[in-house]
Amino acid sequence: MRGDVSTPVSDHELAARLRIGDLAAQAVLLRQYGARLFGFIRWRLEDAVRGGAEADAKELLNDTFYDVITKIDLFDPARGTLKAWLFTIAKNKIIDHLRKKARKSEPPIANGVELSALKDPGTDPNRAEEAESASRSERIRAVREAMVQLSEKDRVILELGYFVQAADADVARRIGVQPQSIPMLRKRARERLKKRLVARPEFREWM
Amino acid sequence: MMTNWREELARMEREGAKEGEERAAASAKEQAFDERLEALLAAAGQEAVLSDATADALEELCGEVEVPGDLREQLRATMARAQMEREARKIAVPADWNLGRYLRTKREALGIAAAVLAGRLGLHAKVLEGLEAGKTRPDQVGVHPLLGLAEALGAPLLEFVEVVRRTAMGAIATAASAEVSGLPRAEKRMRTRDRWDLVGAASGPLAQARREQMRKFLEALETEARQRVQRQR
Repeated sequence: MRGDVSTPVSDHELAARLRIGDLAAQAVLLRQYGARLFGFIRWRLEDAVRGGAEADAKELLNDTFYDVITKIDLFDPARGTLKAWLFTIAKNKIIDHLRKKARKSEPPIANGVELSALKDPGTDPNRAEEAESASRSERIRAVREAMVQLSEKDRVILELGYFVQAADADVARRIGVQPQSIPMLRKRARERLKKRLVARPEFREWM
Repeated sequence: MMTNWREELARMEREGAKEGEERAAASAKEQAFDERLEALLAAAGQEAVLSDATADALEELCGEVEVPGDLREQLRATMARAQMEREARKIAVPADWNLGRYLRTKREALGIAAAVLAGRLGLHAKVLEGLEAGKTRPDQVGVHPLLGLAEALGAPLLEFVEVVRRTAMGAIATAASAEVSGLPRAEKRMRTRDRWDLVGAASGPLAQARREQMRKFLEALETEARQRVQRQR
């Protein structure tokens, strides 16, 4: 890889190279994922804040690459691909950014889910109680574990809707259905998730 | 018989009402569960790792947007800095050690006199003594002689660069804080003395030029150190 950034490199090798601090691997990372992550960030910001997103998108891309390098030791191939991990970091940066924007001004309406749903537990009285509960993180972990057991389609619908706040039209385009049917499909996916959760001790007190 | 019939009807009404209440309570519980689950899903988004399928979907939905040249350069610099910081966390040098103390400790551990070591490297003994005493700034010595010194002392190069960076940043912070506190930090002092602690004086064209000079020097030092480490690997 040294000195040659034009040859495609597998994610596995790329992650291993980044771990040992290979500078050429950073150039490969930029070449293989720069445009894709920039596309994702711009798409999400333009949808959410409508205009003026270019400078923010650049800053978020910069922050994303910073996190990728400093946190590469935390990447676990057993939990998913490098690509999924990179998009997750970018997604987290976007959520943080939109959350800060929502605090500063009237919360803009995001696609799928309102940004008010992203408020910090500490600033939202309805969720403050939730945040104080010691089992909140356990419940979130349970949700993550249960989601892994869902079908790929259900998982994509829930993740795009709740984690990425993608527009119903975009989700529909991806899975090949009419946009009007997305709320129903999301509800059904949530029901299937719920069936897996109600049996778990973390959710006993919700029943 | 009539009484029984009326009692039976009343009993059925009571049971019906009770069932209705139970159904309503169950439905309310279900609704409450759904609402809490929805809130939990929104909260889980910040902590959840996306699935591969969702990453694929995003890739397809968003497409690629070419990264402009200036941003590309910025990203390269950011990644290099991030790499330094990542490695700095692994460095086992006490936080309060500056470059002078670091060099002196390494040299004394090897049992070499400053003059002997300087002679081996083709440096003037006063240069090495000045570095150890904090009177000579590393940018006055230059990238290659400095890294040669680090190699002669058996210092890991990236650790060495981090100690230089840390010392420079500490000096800048101290100087800026002194200025904010109203302590005198006149530019004329900077013209007559080349001490470390004057690198970061917060105002004046000379101070700004010197900070910029130090920033460029640190970048060059880091780049060369990385290239040497890569070659060693």
